[in-house]
Amino acid sequence: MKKIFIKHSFFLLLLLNIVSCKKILDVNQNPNKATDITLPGLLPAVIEATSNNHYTTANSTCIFAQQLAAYSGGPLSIDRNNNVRLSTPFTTIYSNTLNNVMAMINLAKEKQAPHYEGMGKILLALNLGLATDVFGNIPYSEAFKGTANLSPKYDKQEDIYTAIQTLLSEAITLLGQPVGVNKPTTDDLSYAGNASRWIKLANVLKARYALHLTKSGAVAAANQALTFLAAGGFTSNADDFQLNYNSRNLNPWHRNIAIGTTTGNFTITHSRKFLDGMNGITYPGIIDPRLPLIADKGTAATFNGIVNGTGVNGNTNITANTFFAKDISPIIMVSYAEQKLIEAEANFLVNAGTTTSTGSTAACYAAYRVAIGTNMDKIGVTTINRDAYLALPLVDVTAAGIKLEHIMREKFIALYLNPEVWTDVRRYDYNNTIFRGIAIPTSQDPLMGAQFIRRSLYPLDEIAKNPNATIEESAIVAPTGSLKLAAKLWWDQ
Amino acid sequence: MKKKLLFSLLYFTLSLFATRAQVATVSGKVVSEADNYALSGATIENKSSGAKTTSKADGTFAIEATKGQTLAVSFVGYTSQNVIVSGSYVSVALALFEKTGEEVVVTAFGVKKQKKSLGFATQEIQAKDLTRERSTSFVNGLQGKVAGLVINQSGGTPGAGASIILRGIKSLDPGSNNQPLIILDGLPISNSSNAGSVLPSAGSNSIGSNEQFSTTNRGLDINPDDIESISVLKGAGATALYGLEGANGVIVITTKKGVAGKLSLNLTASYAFDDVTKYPEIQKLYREGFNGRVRFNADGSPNRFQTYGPPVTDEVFYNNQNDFFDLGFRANHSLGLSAGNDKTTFYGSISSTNHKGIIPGSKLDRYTFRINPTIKINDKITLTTASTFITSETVKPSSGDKGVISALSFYTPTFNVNDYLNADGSMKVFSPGIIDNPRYVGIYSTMREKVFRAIGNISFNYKIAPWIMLDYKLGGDYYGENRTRIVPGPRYLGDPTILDLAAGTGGFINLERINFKDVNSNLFITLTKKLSKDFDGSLMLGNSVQSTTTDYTLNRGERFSAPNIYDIAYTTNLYANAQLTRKGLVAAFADAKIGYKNALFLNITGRNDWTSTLPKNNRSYFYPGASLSYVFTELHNITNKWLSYGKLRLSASQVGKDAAPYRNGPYYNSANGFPFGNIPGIVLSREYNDPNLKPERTNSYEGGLEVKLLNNRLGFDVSIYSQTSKEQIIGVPVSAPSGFDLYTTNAGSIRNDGIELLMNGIIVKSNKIKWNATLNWSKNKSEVLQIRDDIKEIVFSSSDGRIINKLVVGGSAGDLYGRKYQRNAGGQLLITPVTNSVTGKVEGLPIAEAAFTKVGNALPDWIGSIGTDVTWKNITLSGLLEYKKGGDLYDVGLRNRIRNGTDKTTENRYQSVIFNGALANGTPNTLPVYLDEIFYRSENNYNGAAEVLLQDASWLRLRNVTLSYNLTSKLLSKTKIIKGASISASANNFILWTPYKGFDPESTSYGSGSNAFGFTGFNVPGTSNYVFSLNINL
Repeated sequence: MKKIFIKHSFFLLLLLNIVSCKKILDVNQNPNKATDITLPGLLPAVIEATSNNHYTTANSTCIFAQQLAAYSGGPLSIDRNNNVRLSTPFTTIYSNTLNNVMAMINLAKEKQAPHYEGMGKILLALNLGLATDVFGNIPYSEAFKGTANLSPKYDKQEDIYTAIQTLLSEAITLLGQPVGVNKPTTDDLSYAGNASRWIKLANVLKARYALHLTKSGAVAAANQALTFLAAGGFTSNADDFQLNYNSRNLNPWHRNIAIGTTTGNFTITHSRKFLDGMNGITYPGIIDPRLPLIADKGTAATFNGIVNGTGVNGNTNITANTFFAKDISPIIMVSYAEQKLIEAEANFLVNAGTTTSTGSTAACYAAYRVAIGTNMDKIGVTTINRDAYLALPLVDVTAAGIKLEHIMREKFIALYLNPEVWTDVRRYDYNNTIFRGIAIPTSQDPLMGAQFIRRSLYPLDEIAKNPNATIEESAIVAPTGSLKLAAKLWWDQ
Repeated sequence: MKKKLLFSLLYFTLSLFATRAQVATVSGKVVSEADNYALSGATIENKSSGAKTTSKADGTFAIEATKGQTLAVSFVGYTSQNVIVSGSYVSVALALFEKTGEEVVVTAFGVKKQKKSLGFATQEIQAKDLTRERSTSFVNGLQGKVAGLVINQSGGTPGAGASIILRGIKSLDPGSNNQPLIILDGLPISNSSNAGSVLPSAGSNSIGSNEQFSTTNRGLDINPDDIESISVLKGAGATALYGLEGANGVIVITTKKGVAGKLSLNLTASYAFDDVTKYPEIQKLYREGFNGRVRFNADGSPNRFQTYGPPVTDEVFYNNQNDFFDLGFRANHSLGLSAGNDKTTFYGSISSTNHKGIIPGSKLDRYTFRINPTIKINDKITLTTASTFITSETVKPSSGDKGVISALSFYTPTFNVNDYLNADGSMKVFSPGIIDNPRYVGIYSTMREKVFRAIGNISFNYKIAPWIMLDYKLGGDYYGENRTRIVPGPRYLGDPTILDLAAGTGGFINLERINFKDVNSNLFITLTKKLSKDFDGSLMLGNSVQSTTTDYTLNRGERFSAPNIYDIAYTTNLYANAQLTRKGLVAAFADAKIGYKNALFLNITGRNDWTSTLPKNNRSYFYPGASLSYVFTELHNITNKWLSYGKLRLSASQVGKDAAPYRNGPYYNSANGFPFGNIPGIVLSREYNDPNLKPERTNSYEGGLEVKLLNNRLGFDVSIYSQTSKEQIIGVPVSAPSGFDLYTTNAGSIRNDGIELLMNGIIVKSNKIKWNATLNWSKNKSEVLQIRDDIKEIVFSSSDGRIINKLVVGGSAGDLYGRKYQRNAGGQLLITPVTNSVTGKVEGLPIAEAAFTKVGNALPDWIGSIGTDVTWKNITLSGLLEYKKGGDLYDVGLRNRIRNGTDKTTENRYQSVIFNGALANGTPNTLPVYLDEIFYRSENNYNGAAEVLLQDASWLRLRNVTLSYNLTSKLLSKTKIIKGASISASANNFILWTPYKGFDPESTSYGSGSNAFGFTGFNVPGTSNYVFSLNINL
């Protein structure tokens, strides 16, 4: 009896064994991962990623522009221009953003969602702009093809600039179409689905990238910029393209820099050049009311930035007490103030303005003043302080007395922590009559031959993986007596 | 399943008491000849009647036999012996490794085979050797005892993980498992290390989960006292039958079984003290400060972060690096129980381990319970079940960056690290907001792991005919692991001393739940037949089915909203994550063997696997193996006093390896950091998986020679192997602009070549003194043959990036890259004039290269050990000396200590030195350098150069010395109860010679569950142990 029982149960088990094999083997589907992607899932992710790219890029480029300076370690190497290869922005732009933007554009096309497609194209243009202004030639036309092309070639910067303008034009057309059933709403973290604001953004970006080309014809570039703005740009700070963070999704400057200052992990802070320009040292008589909103000096008596390249002797920090590095602070990617300063500079250049000339039109001067006021309103300067600043003799220079220096000084401050400032600095060749106080960083890599940094090299990681990166890098020609880091990008030549 | 198990257990327990004792017997005792150690579980067979029994825990047995009959006595690892019954008592002393060839060893699927028939290398470790150090985990018990086996410890905290590597790294992929399969009672059990995710959403925590808590490998759950022997199957020849599961080698654990006879008890109690083996040297001349001065913040408060202050005058100076650690204490109690008759035998055990670590607050409490009845239903059917229940609780301190050891390496010696608490309960620390007090962190910021595990199996053994044996085993391995990590927030509103670990989050709590389930079914039929006078043949056909499920959930709460309560209900931001991982494996295998004159054996194996993790059309794959054993002394009747035994073995085989689950897709991920507010975000995965993945394959060739010389007094066993792993499944890092970062495909191959040498000798053999010695030596060399045409290297986790571990074609596994000092063509140090930013003087500094070049290798060149036993009367003295040649290590703790001026090397400061080198123009350097903190802290020269940071971690250590005393039976017979007893005292790992500066270099940051080697500094240091133990047989 017992024997039979055992025998039977044994064969039963054996049978179960064979039957269950198929069931046991067909289990390779991950139940915790999505197998479909959606437009409302992609849009917020790419807006957040684009905002983060502004942080990852500015983290180094604002050091080159000498808004910021480094304390020690890796950032100090960057400040001293030692073998600069900005791998973080390259990674965040290519790995976290552009691939998803491309997926969003393709999906929007497939789902006939013109507004999503338009937003995607604007975000694509903006991110390509961030990348090309740091790295010059970058992969685009052969990129994002997966296994079909694991080593995409690099496109010329000139072609990237053409693509940026085309993408923005296409976006304007798409956003002008009826929205259809796929309507972006709260998933549009910046504009809540407001297509007209996206169109304004596209126009401002067209103007921005047009004005980058001043070196190949300042008047033409400026005219181009003004034409784009005339098509309809921002009209107030409310139009600013920014991302507001919250107490759960922390502002990257807060998360990566300000928190560190509370635990002794000091990485980067303000440059001496930057703060000196605001506290009456470079410009005696100008005490900028934005200063305490930008820099936290603790209990120190004066605002002292770090002289770029030294790593020491500063007393300010980027902390949660400043406007830009609270947990809930926005990252301002494109602002009304920037637009007004583009307008001011373009008008200045169109009217025969040069780096040394004085005086321009009323339109130029008005744009300059609106930019100052609007920026001060944005970051919380009181009306009294704002008006007092606008009345300072060195600010209230009149249309007849305005110089490029005034416009660019204001842009340097208004675009605090925006990667655009390094482009401006390079467009005017680190000219220290326009960007007063800018100088070769102390202890700069001696092989740089005391020349300013003009670009980043490609990340070693990318060079190891993509043979085309090696080809690109070897094609860069180092200026006489210096390194490839001093080689000018296409628009800088 | 569980119910069934329970029922059968009840049945066996009852039947145990229902059986009657035997009459008319010959009694006896089986001991090990070398040391008189009682051998329990030895098989005694009456050759005339066929009656069989096994020896009890104290070695005694009783069997029906009459005068003149022959008893065959055999035991795993020992030479079988025939004894002719001459009286009512028989004493048998079995020899270990003496008369070679007849001993049996445990091979694949727990099958016992004659050692001489094996065409591949195996090594057996007996219980007494395994447990000599009284290690909590059997994995640590293997250290230094097996040629070709490398154990990577992850530190001295209770429950710290350890990984095992047999014959080198076979899979290049950073996420690949390179550890051997563990077989318990013939079925696989989990030895996984689940690093989980311990990180908060923001703040400055250490990046790796693994290094923060020295993740436990679950082999820890096995009570070493339940183990009878461990058989290490090293090469593919030995493991071919295990298929892909055995690709990294197999460790077969044979547990103790019940033996027929009266109830016998074996009680072991051991008590051990742990102490840090080795400390880093600290400087004792300077106090806290900067630039040689005491430093203050802008608001006038002291800023004490660095130790570059003025010379010490009469301040109290604390040796924090030493004083911080407590004396660890470990108590282990284990009770084994055996009883039975000729039908039913029973083994049971309970054990407790209570370990208090060297870091205040850290501990491990483990309790195990095991029952293992065997019932002979009739002459043909035997039924065995085994059930093990383990429950444990571990508390580990935060280690890793910002953890206890990191904070300790920064701690200035002018403040007492053990003065850690303010009156209000907040942390007392010398540099608030910058560095935490490690003692406070150790006590309040911990990870608590609670594990419940049940391992059970039921096995039928059915002798269908004298030549057909059928075996079926069904087993389950289940564990639930609850981990709670707490990083406290402010203790009260406005608490100024918030932990560095809590920066950005306001404190957090991680609740991780891991449920693991593994069900295994093994069936095999063995046919044995004598084919002719000279030929024997056997064939084994088998099937195995395995199904594994890991269910992981994580809930994290951040920002504690109420002081002094660290519960997830009082947190503001909640995060959750879940992952269910399932895997199935079905296999059919065959093992054919043919023997000629019991001296020449040919073995052919084949296995086909079907795995769930590969695409359907690639998931079935077959691999063959063949091995030959040629006992030339026996075949050609060579016997002389020089050569007693000689065997040549050869094997060639192939094993495969599948992918990790879910290497398919495409899948989409929740965007990093999302939901944003309450808006979800979904993005493309950064990983793309080749839809045509194939299994990896390892081809192994092995040859060996085994000889016994001088009348078996001296034995040599040499193995040489070469194994090439091809078509590796690698997540190949690809250019980000291609659209993803990792492309998992078949790419790359690595070759491991090695040699293993085993020597044993009987140095003295007299009635009073027996002295044996064993030598293990092994060397493994690996070469990365190929990764992918367009991929040059794979970079592993790189800690802070000053030294990185990467695989490069033409290089070896474990290669370390760093930045060497610049040198000119003549090899002289290149000196660059640099302006000191404080003094303004131009100094002549050696500068580190910007580029990374190969600076070392983390894996040892070779390892060797010498073990010895001397027995004099009832006293045995044994020792194990181990040497590791090579293996470089980057100690991040050294970097920190230099950076903060606490290390001894920085004592040489505030003076000018001239580096011996040349300027760029070739002229000898004459520019002095002022040795201040700028010099020591600079990442581009001193504190970045591989010459400073990377150290040779070769060591010679006295792993163990044990003195034990066996109480004489004369003495014990008076007690009438105690049948045997021994007491022993051991010291483990207590003498260490190494050029390495810092804590014991044996522990690395990524010990278990990682393929990154060569980093240390943030893990709890390794310890020396002093053990006293007592063993009593009742």
